[in-house]
Amino acid sequence: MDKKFQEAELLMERTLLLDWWDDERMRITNRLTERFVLLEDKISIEIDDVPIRKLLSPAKYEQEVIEPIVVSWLSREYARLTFSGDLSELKINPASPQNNNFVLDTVDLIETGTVGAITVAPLAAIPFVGGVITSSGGFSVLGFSIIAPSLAVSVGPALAVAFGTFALAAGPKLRQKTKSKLATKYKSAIIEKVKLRALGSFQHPEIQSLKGTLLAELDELLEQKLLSLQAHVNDTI
Amino acid sequence: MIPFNVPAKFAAEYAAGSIVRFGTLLKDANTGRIVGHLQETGLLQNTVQSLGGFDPTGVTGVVGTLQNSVILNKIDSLQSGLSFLQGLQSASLATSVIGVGVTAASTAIILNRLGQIDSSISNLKNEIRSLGDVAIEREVRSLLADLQTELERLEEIPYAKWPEARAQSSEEKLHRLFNKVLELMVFLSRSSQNGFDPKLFSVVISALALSASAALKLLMWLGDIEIAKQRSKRQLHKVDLLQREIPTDRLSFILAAKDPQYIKGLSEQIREIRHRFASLPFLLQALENSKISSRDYLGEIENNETSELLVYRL
Repeated sequence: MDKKFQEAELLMERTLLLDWWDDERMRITNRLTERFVLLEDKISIEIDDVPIRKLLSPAKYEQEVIEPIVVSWLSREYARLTFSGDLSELKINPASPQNNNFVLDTVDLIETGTVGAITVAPLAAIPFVGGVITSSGGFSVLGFSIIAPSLAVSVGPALAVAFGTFALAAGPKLRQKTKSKLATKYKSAIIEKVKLRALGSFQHPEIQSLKGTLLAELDELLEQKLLSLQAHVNDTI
Repeated sequence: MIPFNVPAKFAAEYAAGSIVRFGTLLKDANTGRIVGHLQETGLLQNTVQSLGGFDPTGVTGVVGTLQNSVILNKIDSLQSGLSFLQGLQSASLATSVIGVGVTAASTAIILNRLGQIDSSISNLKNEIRSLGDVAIEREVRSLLADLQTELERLEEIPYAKWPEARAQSSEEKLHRLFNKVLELMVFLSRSSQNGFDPKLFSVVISALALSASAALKLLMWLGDIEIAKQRSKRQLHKVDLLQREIPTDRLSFILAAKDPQYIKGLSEQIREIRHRFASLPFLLQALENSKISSRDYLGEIENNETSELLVYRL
């Protein structure tokens, strides 16, 4: 086949790669959305069962209880959906200008049932996974403290006051009603924040999320595949 | 003589899965070798026009897949020779088969189609106004009016004193329109959040495909095959960029429709257009290599009255 036909075929192959990219985006979106329900349930049950005194200092509770649940879920889903293995196979040169956001390293995720190797991962883009990684390296856990500060700004103080009021509330019925109201409000605030970190938001692309991280990897993989395709055609012409 | 085959020759292999379709091309499923270019003819356009309500350009999707499917069934019962066409359609993409290849639709049919798009926009008026977005409607209307103007001028070409000059001028304007529509789509995708009416979105996609295919057809008629090749590559590159701008998962964010099936349908519409765009450089190259005049090619498919679809054997 002559060069011009090969170029025409290359265009078709490129189109198919773009189809693949689009399908993969949908697969990630659907998978994370489906699985997020499980995380939501887990957080919900946890908050339902928490003794109210623990909520008097929500930041501590989030760091000690909610954070590990969320980090575990994020790490597990990242390990399942990451394209880092495919990127490694394409032998990406980390020094190349287009890959300067990538860190070549082998890091074990110390996470129950999800110990795996992340050979190429845009660490900067995965704060929660980065948190797990830094903790495994003996540094302080920064990972999911993202929940606490954001809540502190938005609903934290209001909730703290509310929980204080709750402590003073008289009568078991009123206490139960107040607890239920507060827990619901607290729960939806927490879940909203976690959702943002898990599924991201088109309205807030600046907020890093697991989905955003995976899509960034996918974009990189697409670029690499397109380059490989072009190189293959150049070699054969 | 252009080496056309009737599609029935490939029907068995297609049904068995040894031949698959990609855009307008038929490929050997095992080797990937391209065996032919699927091409509609003027006869198909006449058939579907007589039934009315069908999308003759194969790109608009405005009439609705269901309605098109119903009409396809009617065609099938009327014309036994169209079983191959029926077999080609995927469940949600009846529109993709009509309008395959270089469009054989006469300008009059396309203009009629534009009229239907126009009514579709009129039906949207209240929805759009409720979103406070009259400017978008005005912009789309203005682009469609420009498109209509150029298509009308195109229809007058046979009567023009200098037909080539008129064709060149129309081609340039259609190319410009393609770019304008593309720009509008990118703008809307970036500025709309759950507010971009999906029907309007479909209309804009139609305008994009119509302007591109009409410009390409003119280049072929003018015999500017090298420019046609470059143009088709450029058009493909641009719709590829559009795809990256609006992947399927983002569509549900920018459109005011949340039904996953509907979103999937629109996404497939864009994908099908990309596949068709990606197929055309191969056809143009084949014509050039075989020293077949692109104007003769157009003449033969438009005047063919023997089969609704032909396969240009490659």
